[in-house]
Amino acid sequence: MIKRLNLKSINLRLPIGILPAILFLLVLFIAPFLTLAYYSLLTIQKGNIVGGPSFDSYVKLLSDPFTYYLFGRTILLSLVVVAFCLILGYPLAYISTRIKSPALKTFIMVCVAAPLMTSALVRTFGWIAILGKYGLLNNLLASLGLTSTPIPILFTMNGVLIGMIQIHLPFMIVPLLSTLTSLPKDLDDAALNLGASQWQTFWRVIVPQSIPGIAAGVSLVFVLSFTSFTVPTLMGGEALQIVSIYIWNNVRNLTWSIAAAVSALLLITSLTIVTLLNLLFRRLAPWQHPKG
Amino acid sequence: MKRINTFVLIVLVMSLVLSACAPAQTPVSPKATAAPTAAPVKDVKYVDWGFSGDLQVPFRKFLADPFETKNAGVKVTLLGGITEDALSQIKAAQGSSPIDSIMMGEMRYIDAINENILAPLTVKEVPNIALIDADMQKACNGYGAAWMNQIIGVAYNKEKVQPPKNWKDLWDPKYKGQIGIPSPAANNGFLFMVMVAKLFGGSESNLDVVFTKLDELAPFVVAANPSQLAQLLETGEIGLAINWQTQTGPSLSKNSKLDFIIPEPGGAALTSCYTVLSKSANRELAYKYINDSLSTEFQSKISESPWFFGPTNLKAVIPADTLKMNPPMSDIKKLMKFDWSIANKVRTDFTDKFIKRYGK
Repeated sequence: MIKRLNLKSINLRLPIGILPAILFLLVLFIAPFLTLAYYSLLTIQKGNIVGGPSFDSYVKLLSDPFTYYLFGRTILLSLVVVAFCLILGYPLAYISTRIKSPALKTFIMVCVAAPLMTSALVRTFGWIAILGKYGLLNNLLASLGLTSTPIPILFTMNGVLIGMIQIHLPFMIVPLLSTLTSLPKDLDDAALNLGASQWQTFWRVIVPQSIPGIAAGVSLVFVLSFTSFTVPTLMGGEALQIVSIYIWNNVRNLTWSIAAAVSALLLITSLTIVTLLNLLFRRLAPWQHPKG
Repeated sequence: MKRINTFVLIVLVMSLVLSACAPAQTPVSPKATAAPTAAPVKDVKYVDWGFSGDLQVPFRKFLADPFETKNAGVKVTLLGGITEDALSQIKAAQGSSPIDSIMMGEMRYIDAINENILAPLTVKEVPNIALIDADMQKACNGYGAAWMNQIIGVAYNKEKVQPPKNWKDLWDPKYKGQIGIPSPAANNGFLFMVMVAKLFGGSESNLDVVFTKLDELAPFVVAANPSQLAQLLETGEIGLAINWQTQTGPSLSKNSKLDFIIPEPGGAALTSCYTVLSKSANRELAYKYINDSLSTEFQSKISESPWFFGPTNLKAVIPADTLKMNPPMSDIKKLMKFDWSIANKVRTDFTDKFIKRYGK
């Protein structure tokens, strides 16, 4: 039997308490985005509107191979950051939920949260001091006799990756911690009692149950990495263009319609990839979303 | 719980959204605008856009603070950054920018006049313009006061590289991988690239040769602005930086390994014009502020170490030990100058092409 949507059964009345949240989203997100989208349809030269509306900016961008290179590089960079954050963050989150000592647990929580208490700019300058040609890392390697000349890390993709992984790691760990902490405490014991090994318990019981946390962490870190600006600018420089830096350069160059169009494409791409990732995780854990 | 009609709610909210979405057109008429009504001189916030970081220090100490003392009730806020960032903010504000006065290089000055961003500014409004070298004032005539000259040269680390005697020496293989250049989005970057074009057979309107020469110069580091370039040199990431003498000065005072040279056939100079925004509510105050910036006392002070700003006041005293960084005015006039009314027309496309070519 084909199910039909019964409009009469949908309750369209909303409680007044939801109004502030709606206004907040509309004024501070929807309205600016619609303005941005409108600007992307105009022709703007040196900050002045000289034509439009039209799709000229989008045609120009989508017919330029550099656009695909830019987005491809940014997506790849973000996925690598996600992968490293997951590889580094999951064991830390898992171990911290298994530690019995409250003091050690608290210490780990503080270490995870501490980077979030300083600005990304300060942390980035810290990395510049550590990873520079004559910074802490190169000096250490030289003093140990492992290198004779400084290894160039800043203004390379490796430097940008290191900075982004460190800054975004807490955003992977926190959702994982939340999910792993919510799992029943006797789940491990139940699996072991039924004959599973430690590894089987971890891989076939704990990890699948933590997929919602993984999905949340992956989505969050991906979006933050995809739109990251401070770290790539300071640690990568103008020669490592990614989408956010290209938008900034177009704003400075007063080609605002291009900047707006790239911003719109950034949002669409980000939403598409996050949606695909979430669909993937739904397939990996179908029991989390029962039908009916 | 009280409930409301959702349809009415949606209509009200969409009206709010649509009214927020309507952008105001930026006027491009070249007609001069009348001065808006000045705010009363009491608890007045005056905003000046200029330099940031170390280079803002002399402006706070020798210009803004004395100005506040002389004009009771006025509070001067100094903002800093490259001119392009300021212009972006001014245009985005669509007449509501808080900035009152701004110093800008000739390149952006020409664009700003064409777009009616600046208020008329002559010796009538700013009497100290009479103290400025007349040739230098020509660059800013009508809407600005030529208050300072900036020169690009080569800042270098004495322990890492030998200084180039000629600009063309930069293409010597011994400098490979050591060079930092500014982005053409910044004035010193575009000035360097126009200079390269002229040195190798191009012109202000034909910058194609620049890409050929930059391909030969690669690999190099591209910094977003002069401050970042100075930091790269200070931390040893690069051995050579193409930068302003003013931006290099503080670096020299912090690091004795650094030095500065203006290679042959001479540096390229840019006159900076101090201007007032046409929509400033503090126009009279701005004229006074700029007048103070042209005083012999202030101009002499900023020419000293570690700032090395090139003065335009004919009576300014340039200390003898700063002449390497700050040539006398007679020598500055011999430095390379370019026609920015021509070069500006190609700057946007050139910058975009640069980003796409060297941003991979």
